[in-house]
Amino acid sequence: MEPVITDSQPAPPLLVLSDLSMAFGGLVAVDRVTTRVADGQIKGLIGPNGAGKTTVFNLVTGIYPPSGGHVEFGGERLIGLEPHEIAARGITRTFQNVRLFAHMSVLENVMVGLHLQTRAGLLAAALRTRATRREEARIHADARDLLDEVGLAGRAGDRATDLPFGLQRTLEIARALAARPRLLLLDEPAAGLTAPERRRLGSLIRRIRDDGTTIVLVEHDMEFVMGLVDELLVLDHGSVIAEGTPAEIQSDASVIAAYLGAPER
Amino acid sequence: MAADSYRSDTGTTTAPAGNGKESAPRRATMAGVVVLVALVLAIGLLEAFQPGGVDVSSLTGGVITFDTTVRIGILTIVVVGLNLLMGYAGQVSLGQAAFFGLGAYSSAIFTTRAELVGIGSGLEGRWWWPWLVMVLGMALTGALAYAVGRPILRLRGHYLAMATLGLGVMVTIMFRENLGLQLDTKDITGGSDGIPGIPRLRVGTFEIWPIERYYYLVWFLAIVGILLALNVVRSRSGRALRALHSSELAAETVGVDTARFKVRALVVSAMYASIAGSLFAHFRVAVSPTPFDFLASLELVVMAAVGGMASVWGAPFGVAAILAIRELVRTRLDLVIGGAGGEQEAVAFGVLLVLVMIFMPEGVVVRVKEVARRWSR
Repeated sequence: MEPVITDSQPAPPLLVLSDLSMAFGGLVAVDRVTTRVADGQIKGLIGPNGAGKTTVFNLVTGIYPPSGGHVEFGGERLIGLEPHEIAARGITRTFQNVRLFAHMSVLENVMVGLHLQTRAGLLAAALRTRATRREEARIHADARDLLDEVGLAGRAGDRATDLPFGLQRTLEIARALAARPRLLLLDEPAAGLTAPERRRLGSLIRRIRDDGTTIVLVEHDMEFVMGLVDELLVLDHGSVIAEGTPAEIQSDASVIAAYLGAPER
Repeated sequence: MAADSYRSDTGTTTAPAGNGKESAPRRATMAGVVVLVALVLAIGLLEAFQPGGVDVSSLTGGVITFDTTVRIGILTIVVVGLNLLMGYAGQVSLGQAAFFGLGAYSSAIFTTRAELVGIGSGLEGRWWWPWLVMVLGMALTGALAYAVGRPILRLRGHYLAMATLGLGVMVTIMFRENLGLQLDTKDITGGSDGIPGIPRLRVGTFEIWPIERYYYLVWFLAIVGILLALNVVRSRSGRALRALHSSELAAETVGVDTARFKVRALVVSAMYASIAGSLFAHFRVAVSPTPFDFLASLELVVMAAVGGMASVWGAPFGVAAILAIRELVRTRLDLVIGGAGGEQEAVAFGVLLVLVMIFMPEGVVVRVKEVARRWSR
């Protein structure tokens, strides 16, 4: 049960979770989770099904108010803020079961992601003022650049849900990136992807990190995670059972027990 | 290097078509406007000159009279607003006729009995007063929509339908019961009889009547309403509405304040309904509670659905289709079923509606667009 703590991170933490807890009725989904995510890191959040990984994401993005503890982002407490306010502070995310805007084009999905980058009011939009038109042209170009970056430029005009599943996941990441987050939360980004798609996803995630965005990702695929992340946090039944580098986690007895049941004889 | 391999693998064809695509909707809009303006002018001219004794009414076998074309214009304005709310934002209003009624009663009360609500009667004679009242009515109706929507739209789900249903019923009762006041001491809404004697609209001394003049005013405003709505739909706000329609959660997580945008859509739709109500009051020069009751609200929802939910252009088609079907049933049903009365009419109306929705589930306008596309090739 001893959490392995690495003290090799000189950068101040971007995200701090302190005793974060969530109970649904009698079920404790997240139990006093405490951790820090350093700026510029890729951190993996792993654990068996029902360990509370997605719930942690939902707490950080303000979808549920936690039953206890708090979330600090860039020195500011996030508890009590609405999800859109948290997005405005620089945290965006993807979803385990992709949630694209179904009746909109690929390009429009990314343009919604650029919402925070735009100001045009309703009246200005109705009258198509010059400032509105200029803003529209700008985010149009920005959205195209982003699609280009993730390799979706050729599908800009397609309906989002007409994309093959792997590209839908990519589009969801592009949409989340459009808001220019400081922290990007990816909920099982590799689930349902083919092996080549996973490789491309891995390099995309690294590239996003290299461009200065911190990433936390939930993932089941151990091979995928181990080669990608700087640090891992392991949850089981809502509690942290281990934290450390991939190498440290791979040899951690409690993690092996949680994943494989009783150690083999 | 890894990044490059990623790009070349999935970036199928880089699309120069992109630039063509972004201006395509604007070109389609212009085409739509040209067609609608031409149609409005054609009907107007036909009515003015009646070549060979043919007018709108005789051309449609009495189903659509010139009077109906004005009503289509007025209701188009309501349905364009309702479409923003329902088709784009995905929020159902079952009380839209109440907003329509609030506009009509605002105009009726302030232009015939302003002194009863504490406004000097000297204003009533001025030509600009009814126009100012229209704007005032929009502000009042919008404010009421805001007050109702603000607490309700923080919630996810179909609470708005219930709230607007309640509001609609309440508003009609207020009209019918003279706001709960004694009719003989202070007659504000006129009870079930309503308010007669509403003045015609004027600009200076130029009266916007007979009906040929009013027709152009109504359709001018309807087209302006359509254009403004189209601009909104293709803006940041419109995208936010469509996004939250698909997934409020996903929209929130990219920074869209969904509660706020839903309230805005409701307020805008209420203001569209209100100005249409004012136009209706000055058209009929009298108002009574019945055209603004719950059934009217339902009919507006049906018009929006038949026209095409997420389509601003659907509005005039939906309104025209419903008014035509109703008139057709009323005047022709007894030719098919001898001695058919009101009950059979209601059934036939229902059957026709079901047929329309079966064969044009996405609305009349989608079919119209398909035909237009085939033609333009």
